[in-house]
Amino acid sequence: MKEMAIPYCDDCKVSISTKTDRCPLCGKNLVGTDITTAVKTFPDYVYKRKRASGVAKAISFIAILSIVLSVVGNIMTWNGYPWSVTFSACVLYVWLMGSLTFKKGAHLGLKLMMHAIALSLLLAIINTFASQTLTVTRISWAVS
Amino acid sequence: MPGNPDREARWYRLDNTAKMYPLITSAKNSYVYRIAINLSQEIDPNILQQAVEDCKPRFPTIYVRMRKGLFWYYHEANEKMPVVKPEPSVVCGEIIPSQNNGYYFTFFYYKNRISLEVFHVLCDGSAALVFLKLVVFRYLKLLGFPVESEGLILSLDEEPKQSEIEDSYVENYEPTEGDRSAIARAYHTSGTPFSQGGIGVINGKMKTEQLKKLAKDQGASISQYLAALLTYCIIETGDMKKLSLLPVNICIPVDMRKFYSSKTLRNFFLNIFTSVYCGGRKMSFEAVLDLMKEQFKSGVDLGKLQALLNSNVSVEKNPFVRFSPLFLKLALIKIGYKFGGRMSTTAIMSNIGNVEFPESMKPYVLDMELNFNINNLCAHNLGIVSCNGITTLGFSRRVYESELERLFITHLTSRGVEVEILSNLWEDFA
Repeated sequence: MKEMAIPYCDDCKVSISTKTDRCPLCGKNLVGTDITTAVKTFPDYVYKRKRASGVAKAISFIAILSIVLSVVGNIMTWNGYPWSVTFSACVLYVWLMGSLTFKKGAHLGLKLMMHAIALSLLLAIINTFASQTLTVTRISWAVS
Repeated sequence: MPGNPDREARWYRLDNTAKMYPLITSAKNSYVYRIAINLSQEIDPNILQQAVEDCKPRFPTIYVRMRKGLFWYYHEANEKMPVVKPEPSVVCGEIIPSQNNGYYFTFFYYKNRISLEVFHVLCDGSAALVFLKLVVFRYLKLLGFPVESEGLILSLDEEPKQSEIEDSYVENYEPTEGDRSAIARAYHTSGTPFSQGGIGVINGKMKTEQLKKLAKDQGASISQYLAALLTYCIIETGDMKKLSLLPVNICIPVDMRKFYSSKTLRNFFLNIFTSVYCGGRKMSFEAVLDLMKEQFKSGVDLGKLQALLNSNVSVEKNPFVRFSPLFLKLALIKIGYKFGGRMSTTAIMSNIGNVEFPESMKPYVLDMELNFNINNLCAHNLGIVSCNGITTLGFSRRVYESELERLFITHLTSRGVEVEILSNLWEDFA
């Protein structure tokens, strides 16, 4: 197929047209064979800086730290009211739903459905635990 | 009117297969395939741009943008022009229409290669091939080379025909019993995903005659031989514990045009599945090949394919599906596909066959390549295309490990097939 000598892997018995010093199949070093005749067959990879990850990591750290501190604080100052559950639920909602809202590629319908489910869960938790924390009458959703 | 060959037609319904793709595509599963052609000289981007623009009136169902309707997506004519671009390092990446003048296909150039990347919502490989051939023909003509179509290339002077823009699935639908048999859940190959995403490409080029002789000596066609070899390599490199529970299923798209004399330039294919259950034990290649030959004979049967077509189209015609609002379809199908889609597929093998070029074009065309990026559950996929006596096996993988590809290629080389390898060396860029 090729008139000129090109790099060859003795193990795989293939000639290699891509500019590389190792066999793409088995990884064997091709040093010692003539790799000067090979050319690049695909464009070079362009490394993209991931800017968002630093911000996302900071937000995640703050959210987790807040939850942990609230739970620890609630336990240390325990007076019978689990206020950290409500606080943690709110932080989790803002953190996770905020990430989902700005997530690229996720379909709008899916985002809306997840928001609806998460908001319902949050309200249920607030309804259950807030009435124990504050002197708030538990809301009944049924119409009597 | 939709489907009217009149040039003033403004919108088209998506064909039966295309309806799914906008609902399940994502950055990881782009459903984009690349058909590339290597020419005898470096590509002139300005001439290529002109050729792509000149072909616009001939392909009204490809030069479109996609809009959201109340119940489904639909295509409408795109007033802007597509722009040819330098080939990116990412192969078959997601096509973002807002960065592409609203188009779902892109022409790339790199040295002497023209690559056409297409989102599967537009058309299948056979139709994309017709499109690519005309663009390359027009490109060579604009360069002043003495090329003639010789009946093998569409004419730019002709109007698009009704047969080219029809939804052949609906045209050939028969409201009789469909095929509802479920495909067994499949074994999935594993490996270390590329940290940078994307797919690793290894293309193996060989003489078609050598491959054909190898297959013929075993009483098999090239497709049967390569499907058997892919299955064999998956078993050889696989997890025996999981293989004792699950079969290796290869999904093979079958071009339906030859069965129904269709000339459509949209999607018209059906997937057949071969299934080999090894019971956790190694199998000889010959045993796998015998199974493959039987399954090809029973799978590529017009009666079964018609039943499958009926089943697929009947889903689209179901009143509940038809009249559900699009946002609900999006949410439900997205979730359903995330948990259930492609569970019955170990790998995809697509063979678009031997591509015929006019004699006048052959001196300028070297060979072709086919790669695709379909689903993150299928870590290894294989595209096959032959041209000018050269067959190219295009391996597209999502993992660092290339043991499967090594075993596949060395099987061929140990049986006298001379193979030349090209790779994008994706594993070097983590």
